[in-house]
Amino acid sequence: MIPITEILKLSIQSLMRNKSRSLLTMLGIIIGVSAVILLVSIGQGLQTYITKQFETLGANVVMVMPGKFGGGGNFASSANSFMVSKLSLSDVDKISRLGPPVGLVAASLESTANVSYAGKSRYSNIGGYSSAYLKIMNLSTSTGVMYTDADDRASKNVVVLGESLVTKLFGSMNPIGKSVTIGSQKFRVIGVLNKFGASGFGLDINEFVAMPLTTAQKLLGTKSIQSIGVQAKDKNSVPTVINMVKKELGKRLKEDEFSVIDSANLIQTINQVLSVLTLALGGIAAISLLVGGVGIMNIMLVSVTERTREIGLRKAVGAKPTDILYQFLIEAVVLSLGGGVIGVILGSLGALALSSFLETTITWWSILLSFGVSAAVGIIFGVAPAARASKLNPIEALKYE
Amino acid sequence: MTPLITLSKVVKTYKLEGDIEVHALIGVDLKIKEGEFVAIIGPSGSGKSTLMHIIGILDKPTSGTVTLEDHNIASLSEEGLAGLRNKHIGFVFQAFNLLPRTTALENVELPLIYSGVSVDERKKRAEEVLNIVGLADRMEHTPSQLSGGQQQRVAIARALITKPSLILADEPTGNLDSKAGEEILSLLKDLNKKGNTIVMVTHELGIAKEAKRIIQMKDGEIISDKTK
Repeated sequence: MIPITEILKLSIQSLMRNKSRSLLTMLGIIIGVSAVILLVSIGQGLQTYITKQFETLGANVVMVMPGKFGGGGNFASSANSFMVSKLSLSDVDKISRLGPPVGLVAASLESTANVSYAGKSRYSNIGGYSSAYLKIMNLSTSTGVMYTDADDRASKNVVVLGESLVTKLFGSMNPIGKSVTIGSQKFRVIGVLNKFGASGFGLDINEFVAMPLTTAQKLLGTKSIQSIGVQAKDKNSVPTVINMVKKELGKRLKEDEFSVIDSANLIQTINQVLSVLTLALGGIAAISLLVGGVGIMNIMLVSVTERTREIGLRKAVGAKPTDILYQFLIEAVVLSLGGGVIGVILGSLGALALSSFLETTITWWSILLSFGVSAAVGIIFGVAPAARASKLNPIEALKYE
Repeated sequence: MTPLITLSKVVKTYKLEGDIEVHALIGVDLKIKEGEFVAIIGPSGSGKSTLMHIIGILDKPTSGTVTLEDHNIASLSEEGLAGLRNKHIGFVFQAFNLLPRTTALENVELPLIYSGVSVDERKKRAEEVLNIVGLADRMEHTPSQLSGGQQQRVAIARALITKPSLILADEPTGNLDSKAGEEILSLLKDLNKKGNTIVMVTHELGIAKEAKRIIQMKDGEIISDKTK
């Protein structure tokens, strides 16, 4: 057999003789590989984003949510169910009276509403947070002051604004002391929050309004609260705290009316869902790789038939069957690997381009997998045409019309 | 002088579908010596193509022996035959069989790729043989940019490049007009004068007469073998 470098040269020469056909054949693999890279990077990015968001909660925080969460329960029912929430401020009091290892107990109530000032209006997230919540979340103001427990007890119409919302409503004006309108009520701005958290997926978490919990209850016309955050003394006491909270709330509420979860648990559950989603997306994209492989086989079979005389000639002047086999096999592999390389580059560029407005993570395993699969596709789908070429009888092949 | 190639009692039988046997050669004895210019002539179906395939060791006989410079063909594998063809035989076909969209130079280099000759050496030798066939100024042309006569010259250069023991030309003028055909014939005669052994297969007596030795085939055997 002649050296592999010579065969590689022959294969590339043959492919270059049919540039547009070679490129179109590669396109199947290019699309497949870039789709795998892109979709997996979006899935991974989503996972990273959500993990980061929940990590701001802290590992020793236990959340009480209305409805049933996890363990085969309906995820959506707890995500958007403050309307049916049976949790109330008295539950917060009861839990905080449990004592160590229970630490701070925070309550929150969230909604969305139009916030307007001097004709400018933004549809924003509204959060009613008890002062304990502000402490757990490490929320603080960059200018002005934070509302106090006294403001909460008095249900005062005071708000602190997220940095992004300030820019959108007030521009470069100082918002402190001004009044914004939410719904039909007026609220005095007393502070601006420090920028926090990661941004991504079209959401700007710094575009929101925080106000005392009872003020929010008054605004939304409800007595319930949406969730309770319970801080455990440390990470090890989290299970004890979960049991204590469950027992306490169980006295008043039915088992399926509330859930107690810790943030590690929550991240794990969400990541499991997202991993499956990422795999499914990658798998669907991988099917297009298979289709690309069939395309390569099709073109290689056409090519063998078309070049029957060439094969006959090569054999007549001394090409051995293995020389012919490897030439055609390597043509198929060059097509699929070339498509793989271009696909990885395009997919990565696409992921980078997307990263300006949603978080993407390009993973090494998706790149390696794409290379491996496209090489395998070339070999698997190239073997049959190459074997056919190598077995041609030179006399018949030379006479082929 | 020992012959270049010796055929002894060569029989070739093809089996077609339905077990019909075709006796293409029914016992051929033939010796070709170095420096000869042999024409094999005969009507279609006479077995001259089969004989050419056997001489060109593209095919093995059903029985009988073929010896090419001490190599017994029967004992060789397909790989072995390919190696022997590469070293000893130069083919010239009726339809030229050049690779399309490939320059004359690259077409001529082709056999040397399979001999394991280095890139520089290949180019040097391809230029030499293209010079011999009078195409020094057409090296970078592709077949579609060359006339039929020129294409056949490229094919002859390709046959020459391995310095083969034997040049085997199958109807080399069959696709050419008479003027180009004459030029190709005189090129072949020239090459023979320089010492190349040439075996030419044709069905035209006028062309066969240009050779020094004429072998006539009919119904799978040699019916006459005359040397001028």
